[in-house]
Amino acid sequence: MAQSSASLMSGVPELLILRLLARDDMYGYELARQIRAVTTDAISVGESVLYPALHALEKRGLVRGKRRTVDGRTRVYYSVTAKGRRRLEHLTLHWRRISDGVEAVLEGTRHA
Amino acid sequence: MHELRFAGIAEQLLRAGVAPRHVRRTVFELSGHFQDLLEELRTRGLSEQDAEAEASTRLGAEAVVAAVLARPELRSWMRRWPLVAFAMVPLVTYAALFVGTLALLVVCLELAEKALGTPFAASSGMQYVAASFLKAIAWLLPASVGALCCAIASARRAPLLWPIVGVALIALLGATTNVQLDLPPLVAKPALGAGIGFSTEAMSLPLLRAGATFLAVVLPYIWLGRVRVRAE
Repeated sequence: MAQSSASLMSGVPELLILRLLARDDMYGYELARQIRAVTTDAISVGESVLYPALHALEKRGLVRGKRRTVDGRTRVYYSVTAKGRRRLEHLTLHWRRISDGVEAVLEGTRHA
Repeated sequence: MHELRFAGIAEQLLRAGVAPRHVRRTVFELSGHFQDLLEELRTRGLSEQDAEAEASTRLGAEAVVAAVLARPELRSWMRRWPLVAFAMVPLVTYAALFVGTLALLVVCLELAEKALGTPFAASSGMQYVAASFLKAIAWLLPASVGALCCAIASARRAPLLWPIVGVALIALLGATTNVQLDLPPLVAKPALGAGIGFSTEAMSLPLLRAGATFLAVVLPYIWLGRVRVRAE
């Protein structure tokens, strides 16, 4: 069960990160807070997992990290690249299909 | 305290072969995240001690290391292909630097001839400088490239084997590289020649050169590695 749950959830952190960064540039801590707030803690992307995930996305050219000093604190702010936006569109379509499929099954069960 | 904690993470990541720039970046971001987390937890009313404990749990060192290691793309190419990084690239670098240095010497001598108005063949000073320079590069260039290879390997906490192999190859190539400066009256015009080779009748000098270069580079490298291990 844990295995299938894990495979079902694979790609979710990537989708969440790209979606949130598409709205606004953010640094890691801000992103972790946003994920918790937006998903109302339903989906947790471990804070220790976040940075390797961001670095891997950057290596694939999907996000770009830049050091910026705001209010005396220097942090790495991430933004989505054009390639990242295309990947986000693809992932969104993919997840909408899965979500619609699950919704249809749930609706069917309710009416049966 | 926090610095020690993040230094520990950095050391573990480097030893696992993660590229140093990813290690530096990860530690920098985690350290900032830890500070932000502490501030958030303090504002929520947690004591300093409880806030630190909670932040440490949420940013667990083991979890961070496991998460980074789960991404092979963040590993340094030098650790993925150590033979290429610590043996082949230094050899090519040595050969390129050798040729480049000789070309630079020829250009400098031609410029000096024009500036001083004295032909090279007639200037014992220039000949002395050129001959000394050639001796220096014959000894110093292989040792410098070998030392650079070891320094890079050490910064990446690479296993000792491949850098030592690399230094041995550079030392052998350096010892069998010959440079010759022929001057009148032996030849009509001054000529600079270079090549690779050795004579079976005179093996002792190249072997001595190779051995001296190898030991001069490898012994401090091994010693520094041991000092680091003992310090941990």
